[in-house]
Amino acid sequence: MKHLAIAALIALPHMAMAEGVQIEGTVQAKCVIRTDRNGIYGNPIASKLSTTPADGGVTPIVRYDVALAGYYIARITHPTSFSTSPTLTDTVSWEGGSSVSSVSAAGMSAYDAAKVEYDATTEFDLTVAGTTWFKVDSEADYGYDKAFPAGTYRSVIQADCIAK
Amino acid sequence: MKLAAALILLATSAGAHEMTPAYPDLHPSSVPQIMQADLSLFNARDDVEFYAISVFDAEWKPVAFVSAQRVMQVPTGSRKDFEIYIKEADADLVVYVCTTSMLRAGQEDNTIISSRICSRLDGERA
Repeated sequence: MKHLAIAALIALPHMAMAEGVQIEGTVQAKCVIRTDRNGIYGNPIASKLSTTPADGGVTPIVRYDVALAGYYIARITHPTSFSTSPTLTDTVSWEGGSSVSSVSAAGMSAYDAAKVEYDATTEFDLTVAGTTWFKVDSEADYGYDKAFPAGTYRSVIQADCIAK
Repeated sequence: MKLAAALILLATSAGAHEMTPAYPDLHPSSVPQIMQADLSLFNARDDVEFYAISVFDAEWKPVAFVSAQRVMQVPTGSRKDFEIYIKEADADLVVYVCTTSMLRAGQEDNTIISSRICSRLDGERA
């Protein structure tokens, strides 16, 4: 009887611990911006820098994860100036754009048709929960077929995720 | 083959910027006539360690605010909770609170991605 009482006392705290373990989680509206791939400019001809693979460049990829549908807008602005470059004495004309590269849900395929473009910015309404990969194209042309001076050229893409 | 893999890795720079909640509650602080909102930022970007906080109205005009740090250091892989304080008189004016990645000078890639996430202080949409 005494041994039984001792065994019960030993077992009690372990039983209590097993009952006290809880796991909690919260799902809330949330946006995560992932920089999947920074880009690289190719220099196919002397007057042109381009992230297009056919021009020897690497296209930047931005990934947006939204936990709940319809709470955020993705706003991506392609470069309109260099953040780093040699001294340039002539004008640079910029072209670019953003489009859907890959999706995690079928409904996201409609993002491209519904996107809004103004200036250098493209807006996508993130109406479906999940992950969307956007590719951002950027091209810079120097003067009138003028050769870019030798040096390093860098530019910045602005990727915003704004609660609606 | 190894060289090709190394080049692909060089061109790939993964990382994430996350801010919650999407609709922070603007509530009275311990200081009279000062409102407070509590937010949290998670940094998984390996190329960014500093984030700037900014507050805007509906027209994206800056609104005066106070925080412990306007630019906060958030080491890669860590989370930082932060508060912003605004005047009670501006409570009806403020709409967005944003964190923007601060890019380091001299980064290797040609095109760099600056990320900005904005939450709304004017309440969850209907």
